[in-house]
Amino acid sequence: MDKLKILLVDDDEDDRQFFADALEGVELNTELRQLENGKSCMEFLLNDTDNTPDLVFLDLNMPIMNGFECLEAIRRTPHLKDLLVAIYSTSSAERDIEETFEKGANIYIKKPSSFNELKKSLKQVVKMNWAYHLNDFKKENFLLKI
Amino acid sequence: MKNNLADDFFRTMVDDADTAILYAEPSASNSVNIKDYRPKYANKKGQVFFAVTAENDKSETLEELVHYDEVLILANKVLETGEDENFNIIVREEANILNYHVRIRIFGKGLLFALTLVKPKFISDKDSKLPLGSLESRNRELEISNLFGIRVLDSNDSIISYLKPVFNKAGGVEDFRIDYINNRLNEITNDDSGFIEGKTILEYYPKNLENGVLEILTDCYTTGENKEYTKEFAFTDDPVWLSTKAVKMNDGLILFSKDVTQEKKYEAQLFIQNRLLSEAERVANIGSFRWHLNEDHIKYSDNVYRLFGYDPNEFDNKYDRLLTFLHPNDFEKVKSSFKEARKNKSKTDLVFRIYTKSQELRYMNTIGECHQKEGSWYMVGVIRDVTKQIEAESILQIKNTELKRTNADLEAFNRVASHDLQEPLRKIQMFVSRLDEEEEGRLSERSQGYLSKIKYSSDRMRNLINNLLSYSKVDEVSEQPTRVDLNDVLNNVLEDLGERIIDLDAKVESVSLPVVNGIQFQLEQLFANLIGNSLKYVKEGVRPHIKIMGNIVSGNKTDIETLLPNINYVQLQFADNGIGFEKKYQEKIFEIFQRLHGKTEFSGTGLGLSICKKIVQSHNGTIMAKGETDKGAVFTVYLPTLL
Repeated sequence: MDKLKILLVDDDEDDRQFFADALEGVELNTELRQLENGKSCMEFLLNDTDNTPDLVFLDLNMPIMNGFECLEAIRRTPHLKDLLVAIYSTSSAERDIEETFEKGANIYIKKPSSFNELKKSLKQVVKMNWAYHLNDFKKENFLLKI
Repeated sequence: MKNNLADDFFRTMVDDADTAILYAEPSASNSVNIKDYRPKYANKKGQVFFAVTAENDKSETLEELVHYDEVLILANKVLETGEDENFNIIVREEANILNYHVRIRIFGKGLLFALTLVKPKFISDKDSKLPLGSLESRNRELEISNLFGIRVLDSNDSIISYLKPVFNKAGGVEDFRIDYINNRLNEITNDDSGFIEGKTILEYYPKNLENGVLEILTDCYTTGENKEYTKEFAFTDDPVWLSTKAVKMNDGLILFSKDVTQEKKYEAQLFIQNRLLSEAERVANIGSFRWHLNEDHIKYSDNVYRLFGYDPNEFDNKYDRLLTFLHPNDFEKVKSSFKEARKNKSKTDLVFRIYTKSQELRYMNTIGECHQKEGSWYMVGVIRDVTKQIEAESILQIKNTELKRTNADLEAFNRVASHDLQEPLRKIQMFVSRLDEEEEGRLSERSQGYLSKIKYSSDRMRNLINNLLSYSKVDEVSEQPTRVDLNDVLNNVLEDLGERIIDLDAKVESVSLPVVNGIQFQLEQLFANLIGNSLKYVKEGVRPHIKIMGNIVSGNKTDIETLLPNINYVQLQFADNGIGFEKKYQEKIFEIFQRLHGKTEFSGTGLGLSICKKIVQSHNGTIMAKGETDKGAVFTVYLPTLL
């Protein structure tokens, strides 16, 4: 079985390390690529179409091109409009959450403050039956606040 | 006199007349100045009146017969001047007081006296058609004119009286005798004219001396000038005001008096009302005006002048003059507004600036309405000085702007603080959790202890940040209030706190709670904080017991000032048997970062109750605490009920 291709876009090096370690820790059949901002994300997605990921984790607060702009750019691109995008941010502000869903995010994960929690979240998201959830879209199901 | 047919005819005719006629000739006088008269002939009535026979042969003179000095004085005057005299005399006949009209004129060598009883009776047309010239017809005429006069006098609205002076020995006037008075005074005093007539004015009303009436009348009599006066008379217990005009006529005074009591009362009332209005205007910094729209002048109240810095009536009341006070930038506004009101008879309400006499800039507000009265249009309105209000408003506006900016700053700070503080904190927690996981069992006991302390401190900090955030977010909820069943709220909260309730073996009791209008998650936070506090501040060795009660009360049934009297409130009470608090902290307990206990004793950020207060306030309610050390605490929340 093919490895699940995961792309993490986050400018914070520590957070990227936590993420990578946690993903490795949950021992799922995944392949992780890390990028530092929206701009490099878009360059990768537009140019390297052979390696289009199955799931993108997108931080919001980033330099050069932030998560909101990146999300918009993804949804504007025809072959990316159905790409699964998980927002991965520290913000728990209602309007940030609202805005990302309006712009086409599939799930919102608040960055946890414990490594264990992070592992749990990642496991949940990776193993999620996306087809089922997308058919019966309910925001509550896609909002992982920890 | 000869007895012939003509004489007989004449005598018969004269004898039949109602008038007492006496012919008398001057005789030797008993004094230097006054001549006396010896009656020579009297008709039937005259014989009765003067008690003489037809052809008098007695020696009594007129003076001895009639006892009226005036008659002799006037008779002398007729003899001297040759001109007729007409006057009235009052004659007492037993119980009756009769009013006679007397006419004296030259006849032959002597004088003819004609006395007609003045009887109140209507005048018929027939009476006025008697042939002129004859004595009878002239007497009739006289009677008619007298009767007519009496009728006129009696039917007049005024009290009309005729006074004759009473002289003292030195020849000065010491009183006036009321020779005649019409029946109008009767309405006031209940005294008949007959009762009054013959009395002097001091006899009838002694106060005429001290109130100056006698003096005025004396003055009128001696100078012959008309006099007018208005005086109060206490004829009865209800004093009346009479306004009198006195005119000298013949040898007496005619007085026309009018009862002006009512006018006086109105005048007094009006005076008081005007004073009151004027005072009120002065106190309220308000003035009033009445503008005759067809003309150009405006009638201002005194205070309008004062508002403009002038003394009453100090400036010209022309409309154009008003415009000169205006601030140049308000000139057109005021002009067009008045023009509009004048044209459409519409209401006007505007604020404009004026320069007062001392060149001080003041804000004025004028409100005027147009009314039609007797065919003319008027604008009636008020002018008030609103400088203070305008200044206060502008200060308020500045403050509001400042507040908005401060709020925006605060919001920005909160966002930054929440995000930027949470980021490093989250990483600390993350590293600690990794350290804990990876080095489990490998750390020394001491290091493990340090790690626990870091964990505890960072947890506290997270709580603090979260509470700060929720505190600052209470007011900026975008959600609309909905119907919230407080039973649901309580159940959700008890579920969340379930573990702790079981751990503490706490007893939680509640009644069925009402539905309110509110934000569900905030109300949940309120309940969670209050019940959470009760579970936190428990007394050692005592099973925690929490009671939650709900009631509906009317705002005016409580003595809480912050509640509106005409609104019903849901009263929620959260009572516990915990450690309570000192009474003096009842208010302080809600202040932000107020902690009554050491951090080590009880965990907490000092924000829980501040958040509660803010939530309750944003729901237009009130929260209060009541407690006593070691005797538990009661928190009472009032929330407006659904309408």
